[in-house]
Amino acid sequence: MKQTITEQFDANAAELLAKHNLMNAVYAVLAIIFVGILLYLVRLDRKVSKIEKQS
Amino acid sequence: MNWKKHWYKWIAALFLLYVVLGGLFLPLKSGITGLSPVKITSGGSQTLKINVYNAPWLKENAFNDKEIGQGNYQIPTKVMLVSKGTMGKFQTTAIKFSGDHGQLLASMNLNMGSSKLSNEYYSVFIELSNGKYLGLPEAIYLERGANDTAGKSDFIAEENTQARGDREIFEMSFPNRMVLNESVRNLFYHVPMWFAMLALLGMACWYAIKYLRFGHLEDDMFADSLVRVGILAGILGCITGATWARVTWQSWWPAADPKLNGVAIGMTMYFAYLLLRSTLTDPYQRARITAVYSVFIFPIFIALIVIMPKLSPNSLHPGSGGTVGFNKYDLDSTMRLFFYPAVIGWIALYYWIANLRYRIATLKEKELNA
Repeated sequence: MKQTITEQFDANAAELLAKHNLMNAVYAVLAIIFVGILLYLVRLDRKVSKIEKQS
Repeated sequence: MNWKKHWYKWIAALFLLYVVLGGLFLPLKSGITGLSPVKITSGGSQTLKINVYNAPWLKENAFNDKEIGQGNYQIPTKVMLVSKGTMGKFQTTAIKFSGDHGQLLASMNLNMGSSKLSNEYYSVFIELSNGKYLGLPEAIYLERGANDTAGKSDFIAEENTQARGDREIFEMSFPNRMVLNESVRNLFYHVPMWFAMLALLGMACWYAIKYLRFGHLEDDMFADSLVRVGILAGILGCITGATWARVTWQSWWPAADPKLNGVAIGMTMYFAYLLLRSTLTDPYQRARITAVYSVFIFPIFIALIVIMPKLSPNSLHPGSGGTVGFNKYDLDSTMRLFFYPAVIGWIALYYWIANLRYRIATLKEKELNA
């Protein structure tokens, strides 16, 4: 049986969906938040160091 | 340990630990994630490929198991196409595995025959041996084939289709949505960023009013710290949102979405706040002008990111326009058990950071005056 273009497309979409593990998106989001907050804390840390040096 | 002083730090630490662990490790409900074909011409026997996610009976070779239907092993017994307009369904018990992991093949006779059925969308349901259902609403479009105009119809008319109203009993798992799939867990990490930003900017607005009323510079400095950390939450919300959108909506920044446009404008207003503050040197003048500015822009910000998207007809975000909120499909409230602690925890964490920044700023001020 020959597949029509729509059927092929559907099959591909289903396959893509099955392979594409969206769990990675969750890990990425958590990592971004972690790195973002960490960078901000590093900046704060530098500010404190500056004040400590002055006094 | 001074509990009265540190309570929000404990809330931040404990709630976020709970949210990160629970949010990552609780399983998703089994559900239908895909279907092929999505458009079917009626007449004769047809085979549907149905992709099922996280169903225990797909991991074991449950069809050959002798304990089928007793206790933990549940198997699919029926596949149904339930119509929305006309009450009724097509159904079949001819189900088998396709060999692919997580895929079912269901063969059914789809004859509309002489009954008066119109072309429309059908929802797909898999009935399990324990009487529960997996479903995907309005998943398949059925249209009448050219030869399918006379004879017997396979459509079973029903007054009340049970599958639709059926509710699963409570179990600890997250709802499974098409498109979102596992990434539904981002509800605990991306969405609270915005809640935290709104909470911090709201508090900043409160302290700005307090400064205007009483004129203490500390209030102004605390308001400033809250705004800055609020902006940090907003930036993280933007980046995490873009990442999530890339894999679900297939675009980093779907420009047609009113919520994103609102956020872009709103964030610019707060960047302007930073700019405004950096240009003024006299502390009292700076405090007064920025306090007035932040009291003005907070309501506009709320209007832009909360009210406007709700009024707009075409937002991709849940809970606005034509989309449903998350509460609509979190039937047994498992998500709520994690979402509310997540919001409280993230707000507490950002408040903690803002508090640290405020204390550093005060120290710096003391140095300058000494």
